[in-house]
Order: sequence, then structure tokens, then C-alpha cells
Amino acid sequence: MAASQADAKDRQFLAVIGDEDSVTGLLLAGIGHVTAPPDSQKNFLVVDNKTENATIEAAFERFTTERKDIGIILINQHIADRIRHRIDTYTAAFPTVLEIPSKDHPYDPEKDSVLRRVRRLFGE
Amino acid sequence: MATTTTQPLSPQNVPSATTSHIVPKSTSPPTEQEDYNTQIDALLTRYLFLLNEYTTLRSTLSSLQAGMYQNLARANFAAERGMRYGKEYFDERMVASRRVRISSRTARGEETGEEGKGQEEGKREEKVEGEKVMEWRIVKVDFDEKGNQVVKEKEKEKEKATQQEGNQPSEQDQDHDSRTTTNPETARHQKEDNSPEKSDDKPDDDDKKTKIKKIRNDPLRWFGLLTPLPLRQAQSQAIQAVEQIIPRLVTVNAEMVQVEIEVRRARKRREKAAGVKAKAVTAAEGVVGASA
Repeated sequence: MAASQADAKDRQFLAVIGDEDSVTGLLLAGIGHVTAPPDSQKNFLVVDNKTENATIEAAFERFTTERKDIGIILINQHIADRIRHRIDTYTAAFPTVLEIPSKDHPYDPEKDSVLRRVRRLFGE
Repeated sequence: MATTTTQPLSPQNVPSATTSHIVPKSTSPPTEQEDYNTQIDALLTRYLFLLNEYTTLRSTLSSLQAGMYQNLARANFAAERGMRYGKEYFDERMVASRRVRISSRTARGEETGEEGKGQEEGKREEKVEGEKVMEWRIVKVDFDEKGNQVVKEKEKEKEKATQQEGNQPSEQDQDHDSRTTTNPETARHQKEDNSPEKSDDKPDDDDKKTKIKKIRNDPLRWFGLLTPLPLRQAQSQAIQAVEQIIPRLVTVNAEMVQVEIEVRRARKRREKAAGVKAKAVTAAEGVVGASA
């Protein structure tokens, strides 16, 4: 328990995996961060039509397991759909993953993992 | 003193079945079964309130983001030819000015406001985990000249606290006023700052410094000095989403997970109790049958 609390303390950044407008908007809010030069790791990934699923998956993997300074991962719902198997099997408390709507793909409650959990709890 | 049942219901003041409900062991099985049922009902009620809050937050986030995208599109439409407010202008050495703070504190803390209130105070939320409460917040971080972090929100909270303290004792204020009238220099500061607390030269300097740093660390500057109004509007909407909605959503989600676990545990315990009862009944029937 103490270890997880210490772990949570270091998690101070939000990460974003999204289309250009989503990332631009959220970075305007001041959440963007690039680490010191040798690594220069970004806490965001801009996804377009050419971006491969493997790249998205690698970024998700990096933000969830490799980096210990990410507290919340924001991911566009339509991008989360592309790596749905990874999102659904991810159960760790930190960092927490939150699916957000995008410009071209409004929020769909049917795909929301939280609402699916609700349905499961009520026996549907 | 009013009991918890008379209070208006919200996710926070729905009675927590884990803490307030103790299952008596010595009672007969039917009452034990009822106890489990009420415990589960209380948990589910709490869960539904959380779900309601979650869906409200979701719709707020959707509308905020829709506004943000619209403003970005407006800015791009009005921009010079070939200019697009996007990744090409991102600063490669950007430093996050809004950061996550995850903290836990003991349960039975003060109950936070309802969802509407949560716009301001919503960054702090409770996650009941036995006696643990998890809390996600987004804080504004600035840097001083040496590159040390200065957390602004804490300062604001302190300021609020000091203002509240300053407002409460009216006699002290009167004394303070009388003192300030005797000292013309401090009186001038009082007029300028309007703050009831100490008024030295230092706070002014600090304010200036933070203002300068704030301008330097503003992501809007990536896109030039004179940014269009829609872009600034998009920024303010994004800030609102990041500061107020997202941490609440995350916390409510975490709390929902916790309540789900509690519900499943309670259901299992109920099933166990029902199994024990059934066994006892069959054993009793067997004894009766043998004696007959």
C-alpha cells in the first residue's frame, strides 16, 4: 500500500493519444511535457490516418508501463477502438485511462468501458 | 443532530455500507440475509449516484470539447494561408504547467459539494476504500528563476484561508485599520492590495515575477505573440476540461470500481450465508427423518 502511494506521488503528468486537434487543444491547457534532452520523451502522440496501430500500442505501452511519471492517460475513443484489446485488458490503478471524444467521433456511451462495467454489474 | 438519512442524497452522503454497517454474527439467518440485502442496496444506491455524476460529467466534457474543436476550426479558418494551429508549432522543450496530484487521505473526511458545486471544488473527490480516500487533482505549476516549482493552487488556497480568517474577526480588522491609519505607508498598501493580511513590498514583487513566468510558459506563445481570439477561447475551454472535469471523471471512475468490488464481495457473502442456511435446513430435515 505504501509502495503504491509513493508510486502515485511521482505520477504528475497527463498523457494524450489523440488526433491533432485533440492534442493541440489539450496541450494549449499546459499539459504537454518533453523530458530532458538525452531522452526527450514526449507525453503525447498525434495520431492521423497514416499512424499504424503498432505505434499507438507502443505509445500506450510506454505511458502505462515504462514511464512512471504519468498519472492520467487521455485517449480519443476512436483511437482506443483501434487498440481495444489493450484498453480492455488494462486493469492497473495508475495511470488511469480515460477515453475522450474527438472532433469527428462524438462520445459513444456504447463503447465506454465504464458503462459496460455498469451493465456487467447489473447482470446484463 | 440530524441523521444521515435526512440529508439530501449525493454520492458522498449515501451511507457507506462498508463502514457504517456491521453484520451481527449472533443473529438468526433470516435477519443476516436481510442485513446483506440492505448493505447491497446501500452500495447500489451509492453506485447509481456515482453513475449519475459520471454521465453528467461526460456530457459536460463532450460539450466543452465540442466548443474547443469549433474554436480551433475557427482559428484555422481565419489564419493566414497555409497556417494551421497544430503539431508543427509545438515547442520541443515544452514544460507542463498543469500537473496531476494523486493523494490519499483517511475516509470520513468532510463531504464535498454536489456535482454543480464540483466545478470549483470538484478537483477533490473521495474514494472510499475501507478507510482510504483517493483524490485526483490538477494543479497549476509555475517556475521561479532558479527553475524550482511553485505550486500556485496551494497559494490560492492559503490566500482564501487567510481571507476567511481575516473576515471573521471584525474587531481585529478595526484594530488593524486604526493601525494603518497611523502609518501612511502601510495604509497606501492597504488601498492598493485590499488584503487584510501583511502588506509588505515582497508580495507585489512575487506577483510580478509569477506574471512574467506565466507569460513565458503559456503554450499560446508557440503560435505567435498575437494569437486570434478563437484560439484563446479554445485554450480556456481546454483548461476548464483539464482542471475541473477530467480529474473528477477519473476520481468518480475509481470510486465506482471500488463500489463494484464492495458489491461483489457483499453478494458473495450473501450467497455463502444462504448456502449455510440451506445446509442447516437439510441437516435438520435429515435428523427429523432419521428420528421418525
